[in-house]
Amino acid sequence: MVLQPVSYQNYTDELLVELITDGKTFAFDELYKRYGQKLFSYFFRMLWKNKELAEDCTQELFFKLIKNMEKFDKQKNFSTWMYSIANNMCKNEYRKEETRLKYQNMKPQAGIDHNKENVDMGNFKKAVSGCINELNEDKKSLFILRFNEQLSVPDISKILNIPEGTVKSRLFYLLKELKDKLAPFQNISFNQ
Amino acid sequence: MQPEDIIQQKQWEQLTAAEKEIVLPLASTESEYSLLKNILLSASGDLEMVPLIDISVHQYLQSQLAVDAKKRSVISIYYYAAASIILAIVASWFIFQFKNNKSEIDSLVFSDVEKIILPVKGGKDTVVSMQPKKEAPVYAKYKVKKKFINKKSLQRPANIQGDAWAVNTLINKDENIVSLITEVY
Repeated sequence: MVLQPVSYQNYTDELLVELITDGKTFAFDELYKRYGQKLFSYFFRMLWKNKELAEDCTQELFFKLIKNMEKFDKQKNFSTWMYSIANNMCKNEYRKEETRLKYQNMKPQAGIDHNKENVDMGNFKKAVSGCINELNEDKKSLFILRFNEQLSVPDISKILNIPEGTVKSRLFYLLKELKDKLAPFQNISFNQ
Repeated sequence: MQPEDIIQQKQWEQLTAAEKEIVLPLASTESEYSLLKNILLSASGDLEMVPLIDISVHQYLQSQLAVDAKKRSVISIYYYAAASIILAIVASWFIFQFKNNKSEIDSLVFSDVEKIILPVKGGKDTVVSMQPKKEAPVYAKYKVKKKFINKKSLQRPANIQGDAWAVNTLINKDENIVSLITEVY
């Protein structure tokens, strides 16, 4: 008889959490495979594209998960829970950054180029990225969760702990703001 | 359907009247619509801009998980040990109590419980003598049979006349008793 290694690919996140609590380390590997890069991307986008900081936050988040795995309510959605913790961690980082800037009297880099004469898709992407970086913490997290992480409105509402209606209206105003900021790119056509 | 979903999925020409109605507050013209579409496409296709997470993060977490698992197993051993000690103490206490009670009951003499001091609220303790309760009478379930009288023994002997046969022969022999009875009569 040949022993097959246990595959956790078909397990739900919640079941994996249960297995990790029981000491199955391979279940953790599967969970990390699912969310490691995703959460890193979220942190990277949220935290001024700082790779080291994003890695530190990802590590800290998973470390917290390992330590507090039994606190997870199995009735809840694991992914939503993870993102809500990540969002709170980002808030803390923003607070720290705010304090740091207050004392150093510095402003974060904008990174936006509105040069009309040099418009191509690369520049447009940079401009979009710059605009998103300029957004305040709440708007930024909303944009990233909705358009980068492709999460649904009900999930975002749970992560940010705000009603679904508020999420929708905030998204509306956010898109309007971005459209106004990127108006110089309005008449340029891009081939996708 | 949300306006951003429509923008992401459809071209301006493909929009129905109802969809245009939804999108209208955001984009009233085709150019506005395509700008928004480009913004959203640029955001969703942003993945290549994000670097890959360093492998050392995963390695560190794995090591932490192993340490944590070890710690948990040690803690659980301590818990089991503590629980078994507590159980043993409780069990031995119960056994001791049971034995003690039994020996007390065995050695108990009624005189020990004859006088018991009862505490009285707001006064001196009083000594109350305890009397044993009378045993409840046990009634026979069946009717008691009447004493069988051997009528034969009451028959007059053939050699005695009158009522003299009824006098106890033993009394008859005692002269003092006979004289007393005669006197009374």
